[in-house]
Amino acid sequence: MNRKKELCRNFQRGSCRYGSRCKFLHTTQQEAKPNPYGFGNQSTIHFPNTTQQQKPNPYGFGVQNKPQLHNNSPQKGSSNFVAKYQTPAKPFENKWTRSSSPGATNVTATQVQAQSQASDHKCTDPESCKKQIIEDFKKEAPLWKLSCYGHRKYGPCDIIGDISYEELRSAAYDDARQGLSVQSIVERERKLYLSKLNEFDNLLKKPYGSQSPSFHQMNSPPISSSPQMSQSPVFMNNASSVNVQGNNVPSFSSFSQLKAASNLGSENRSEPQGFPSGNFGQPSPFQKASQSSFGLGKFGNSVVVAANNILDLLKKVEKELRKQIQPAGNFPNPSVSSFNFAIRPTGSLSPQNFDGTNSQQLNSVSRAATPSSDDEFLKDRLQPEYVDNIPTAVERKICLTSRAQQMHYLPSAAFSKMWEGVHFFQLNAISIRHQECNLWNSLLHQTLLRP
Amino acid sequence: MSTATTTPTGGRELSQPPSDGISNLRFSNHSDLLLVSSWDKTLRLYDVGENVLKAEFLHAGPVLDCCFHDDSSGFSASADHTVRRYAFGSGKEDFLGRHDAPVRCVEYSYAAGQVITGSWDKTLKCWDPRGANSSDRALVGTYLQPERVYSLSLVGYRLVVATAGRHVNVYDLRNMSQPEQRRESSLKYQTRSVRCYPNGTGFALSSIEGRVAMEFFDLSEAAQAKKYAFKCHRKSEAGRDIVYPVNAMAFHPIYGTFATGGCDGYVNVWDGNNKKRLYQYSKYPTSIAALSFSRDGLLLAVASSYTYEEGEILHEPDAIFVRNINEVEVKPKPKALPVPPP
Repeated sequence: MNRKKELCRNFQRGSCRYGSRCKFLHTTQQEAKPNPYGFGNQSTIHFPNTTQQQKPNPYGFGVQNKPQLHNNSPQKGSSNFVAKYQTPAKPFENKWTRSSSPGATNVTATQVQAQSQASDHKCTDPESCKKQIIEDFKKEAPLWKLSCYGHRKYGPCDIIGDISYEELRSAAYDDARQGLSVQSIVERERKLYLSKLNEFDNLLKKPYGSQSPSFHQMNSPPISSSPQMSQSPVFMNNASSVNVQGNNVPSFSSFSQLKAASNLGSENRSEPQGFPSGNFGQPSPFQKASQSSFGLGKFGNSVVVAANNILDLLKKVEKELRKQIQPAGNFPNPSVSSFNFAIRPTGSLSPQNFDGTNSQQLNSVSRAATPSSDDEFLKDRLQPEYVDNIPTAVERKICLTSRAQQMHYLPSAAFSKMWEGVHFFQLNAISIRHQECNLWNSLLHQTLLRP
Repeated sequence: MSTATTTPTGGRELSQPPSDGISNLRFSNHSDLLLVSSWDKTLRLYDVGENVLKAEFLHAGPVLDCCFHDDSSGFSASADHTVRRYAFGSGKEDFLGRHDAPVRCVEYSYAAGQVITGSWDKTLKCWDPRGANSSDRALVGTYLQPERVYSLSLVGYRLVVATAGRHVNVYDLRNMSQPEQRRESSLKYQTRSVRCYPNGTGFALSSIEGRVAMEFFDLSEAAQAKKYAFKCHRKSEAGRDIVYPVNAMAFHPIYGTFATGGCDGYVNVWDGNNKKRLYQYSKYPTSIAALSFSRDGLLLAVASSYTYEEGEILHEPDAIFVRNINEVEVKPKPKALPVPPP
């Protein structure tokens, strides 16, 4: 009789071959035995505590009322115990879900429900990680896409690059204040979205160990240098301290700079309008452009697409460049980039200026002003308030532009003016004519890539 | 429920709401004054009882957060990188300090007598409000965070900071040199907001994936065993869920139950201890941006204001609703066994 009081261990495990003849107690009452796994104990989930060797308890997922636990245990306890006893370390698939428990009357809907699929996922093998990720994305893809993601609770992020909607909104407001159209803002945001979606796609394809911290990883051709991209995605008009990565990265702290960087027509798969979205979306159209046009991996100096009445301007520029260019391998890059920077569409430069100044620019191009005055002019344009908080970039510009002058390039001022106009036109232009694109393309290829 | 308006849902709509999105709203701890910060660059003070706008303060940029100091003054955190104090009666404005990026959250700690602000420049700063208007004398300390600060909450001497990248730091205000605890969020996506329990034992985290996690400060096994997370603010459609971000949470000061508001326009009231939903209010016109209970728990202010979760789209006008709370909506229902009638 004494033995009858002891619980039968086999029965607890789910298989006692003696059945009713067993000398030990067949009961599923867990309180009788201090079950370390605690499934169905009074208190909340103990199980994960003891079986989790690596991680602290991830979830005490919604324990329900005690009476219900007891109700459940006859059906489910045994099978669960089997699972637990056999492989305590295995990612436990919690088959016992709230929804199946009877008398779930006091839980309205399925709102307070154990997350069965994700209770204790451990990265023991890539397959389970991948499954986890697939399940997450399939079932619970959130509405807001610009988020980081970590497939392990309490674990680090697999995809970094969080943007909250306030940040996006703040950036949009800032842009609007600087005179951008709603459409361009929307374009930028859409690009951000697309790039983020791509990132999620990539994670899905290569989940484990594919944690590329690069926010901007896309399917675009591998840009060798992503130092500028791996920066945490603080965008907007932030201080340079946040953005600058060093090693020649242009601190694109403002979207407006990026507008100077556009696509080159057909080669880019994104819209020809070419508004790379801030720091984030910047790589895709940006670098594609750079690769196709310059082969200037890092910098991504892209070219502003010109529209019709710039054609003459470009031809003149081409002539000038051909005349004056020095064979200087890699040097062209920074100087051109500096010209990029010189384009700063602040409020003062409104689109209507363009039409007026167009002719002036043509004149200035052919004029070849003296270097000293142009230098001053350029420096003037690079005033901090003009440039919006990018001191390091400003310095870089000045330095590089002056070097460009030494190398007998086009007078910087003239060039910058031209860029300015072109840039603004690009802001307004909706369509891009291929001949201009090709012209520009060829121009640059010839002039800048010459050995 | 107020019968003053014909709206069957939502409660009283405050007159003269902000003209743009509402970033946060707070009830005072001493009266039924409501402070509202908005993307239209104003900080507004309403008297809810009389439904009148009492004061309005214009900023240089959108105001992202606000809090009361006492009934006569409050603090604002603005996207123009500044933290300011306003005296409501006199309309006087004091400049407290500046961050390097928009200031996202501001809290006032009565225990420490300090204003704490978190910003997208990845720092947390503590200010002494008595040093306002003097250059740098107000700043008590600057604490670097792993990422941009998204949300802050205070209870007693504990401060919980939720940042981008799912980091959570818990600080003790008496020793800010390093966090008391450094954690990662148990949720998988971006954290939206964090709120401490009024009883000071833990905090609730909400994310964009329609989940709220209930966590505890105590790191012992027993306490950690109690933590859990639950799904909410989701809509089932054609076999899959539409998952809405949970933007706002507010704890009832007396019962300890809490309300969550999401981008689906619903406000749910939950009992954290018994893990049940107590009530769901009828749908608001647009996303819920902020929630706040009054000091006696009899009023709930709901900011129904589009939060930009779908980018730039047309949306319902932003409004503030104040509803009277019935006890049945917020009182916890313990798991009492049914008592047979006598």
